[in-house]
Amino acid sequence: MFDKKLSLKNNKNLVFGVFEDADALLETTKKIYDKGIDIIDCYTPYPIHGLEKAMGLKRSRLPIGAFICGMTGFSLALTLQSYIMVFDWPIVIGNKPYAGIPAWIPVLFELSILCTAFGIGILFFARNGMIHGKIPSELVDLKQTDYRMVLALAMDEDGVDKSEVIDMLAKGGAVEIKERMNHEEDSFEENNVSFEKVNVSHSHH
Amino acid sequence: MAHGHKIEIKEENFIFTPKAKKFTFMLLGLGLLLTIVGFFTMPKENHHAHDSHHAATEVEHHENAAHAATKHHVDPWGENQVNNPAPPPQVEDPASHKPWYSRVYATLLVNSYFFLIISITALFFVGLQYIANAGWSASIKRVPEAMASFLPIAAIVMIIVLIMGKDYLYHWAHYEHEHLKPGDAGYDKILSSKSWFLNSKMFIGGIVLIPLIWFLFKKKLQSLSVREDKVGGVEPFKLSIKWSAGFTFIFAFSFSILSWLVIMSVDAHWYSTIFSIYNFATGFVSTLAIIVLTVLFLKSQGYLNLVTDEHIHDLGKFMFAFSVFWTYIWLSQYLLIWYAQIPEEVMYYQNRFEAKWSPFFFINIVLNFIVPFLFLMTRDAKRNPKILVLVGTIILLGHWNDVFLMVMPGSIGSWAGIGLFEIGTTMVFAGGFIYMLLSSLSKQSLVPVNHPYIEESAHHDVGI
Repeated sequence: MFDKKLSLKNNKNLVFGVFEDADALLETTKKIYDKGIDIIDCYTPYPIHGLEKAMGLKRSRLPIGAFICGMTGFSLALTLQSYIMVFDWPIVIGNKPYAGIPAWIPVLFELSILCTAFGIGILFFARNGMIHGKIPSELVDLKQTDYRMVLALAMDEDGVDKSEVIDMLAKGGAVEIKERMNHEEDSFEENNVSFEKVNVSHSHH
Repeated sequence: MAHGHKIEIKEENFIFTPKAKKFTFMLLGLGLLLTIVGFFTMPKENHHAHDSHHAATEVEHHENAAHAATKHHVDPWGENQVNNPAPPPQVEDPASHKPWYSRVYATLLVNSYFFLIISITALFFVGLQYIANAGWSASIKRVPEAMASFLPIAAIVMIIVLIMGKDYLYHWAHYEHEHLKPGDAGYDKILSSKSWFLNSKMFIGGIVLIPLIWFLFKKKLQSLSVREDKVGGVEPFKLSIKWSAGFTFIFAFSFSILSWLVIMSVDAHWYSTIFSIYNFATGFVSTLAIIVLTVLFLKSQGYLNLVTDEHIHDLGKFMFAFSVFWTYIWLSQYLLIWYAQIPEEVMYYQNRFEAKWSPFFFINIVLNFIVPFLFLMTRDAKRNPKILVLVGTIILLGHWNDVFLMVMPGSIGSWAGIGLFEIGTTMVFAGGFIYMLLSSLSKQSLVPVNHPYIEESAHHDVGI
């Protein structure tokens, strides 16, 4: 259920660019994506228009989940009402037939909506791993939920020049650059994550 | 929404080409021809008008058979037997005391009212964007603005048709002339109690005054739009917000009153408290469909370069959402009447369930709900011009049928039909509408270059 690609719980060597300006983040993300570097995720305190395209994210499959949840609610309501009103306890109300379909529509509608809303809410949080209590260990920067934005990149692909990436981040306007070295996946402890600050020596500013 | 890349905002001047002019004139000419041929070939004899009694007995017989079948069901309380209901209210065919040419008035009413509510809800769309402070729509704003230019023509035709034909269309107008007192033969308690509202003075006052007020608002908003193009600055924009707020407020009341006077009073014994919002939904969906069709047409001609798939997607969402909204209102009206089964309310649907009207009744639901709901559900469909054109056209036909079904059964009954005359007049109105739309599009730049939100609209993005 949980999308592991979004998690930092891996044994990859990671580099993080911390930004304070949304446009700088967007432009840098586009350049990094064009280079073919593996973007793990962007952590931003508010939605940034166009960022999902810049990161090369594929379209969410949440609508399919929504459709399935909606159909579940619809069939639930249909089964419930037809069982009660026609088979289990048929009562004549206002001289209407037992299967008075128009009278069922409000309930069909409401249960479809209810199941869809709850279903995609739960699916969304489960897929993102945003269930309460999971996130603090993965905070790269304490202010990333406030005003800073973090671009997380994996360095383990072949042909990736780390110093070049760090240079791109610095030139792109990152206020801080952090790094996490490779480590064994099974030794990954929640409180044992360290994001070391990278000092950019050759600043071009 | 600075994206780093700059989109050039420049004026675009739409040219109403001779080819497009030729098309509209051909539509008008062919429509006129069909109207004339339709007028002379229209049935002048009516056999159904005297058959209404037979139809009613047949329905009654059918009902009894249906109840005999339901009695076989197990009744858990034993005593709660299905009572044989009172025979369904006999629907009197209004055609029985009306001349054949009432159909001319009724058809012209359907078309003028349909195009009037399209024109005015187009202006409402413009106003809505202002009061919602919407940015995305700035680049398509000229299209609904131009659609409102048909308002005076539709209104004038409607006023003439109603003044000349009200006695042929409205039961209450005919009743008014009889000056009956309580106790007189033919005295109608309901119509008499409504006569303070449903009388010639109120009627003519309403149908003249309300479109006039709308027209003044349209003039004002249009002049602000022109001023914005010429002078620039945010002052016209701020004034537009104020005028739009005033218009929206007045529109809500005046549109309701107009829909009661012109359409609901066709079935004068009947009333529905949700009727005006139902009419609004009909007009607004049609307006959205025409906006989509016009935007796609202009894009195919190489105009509206600021409009991207994102805007088209939003317009598709609008069309989808308001089709569902229309259905919601339709069902709200139907469900309560069906459940309560109060005779004078049920008459309205009883009439529409009978043989002549039931195809229109069911086509109404298929074209206006099932088709847009299923076709426009996915994201890809809302971004696909072919599907949008198909569904937009179906919605327009469906809502024309909707207005037709609101007017015909209660006004002229079995005289009504869809023949050459109906097709012809609709083509004439459509031709006139397209002519006014395109000619007013050509008068101003298609891109409101000085609109404060044009930059935002150019960068509009709904995400993946």
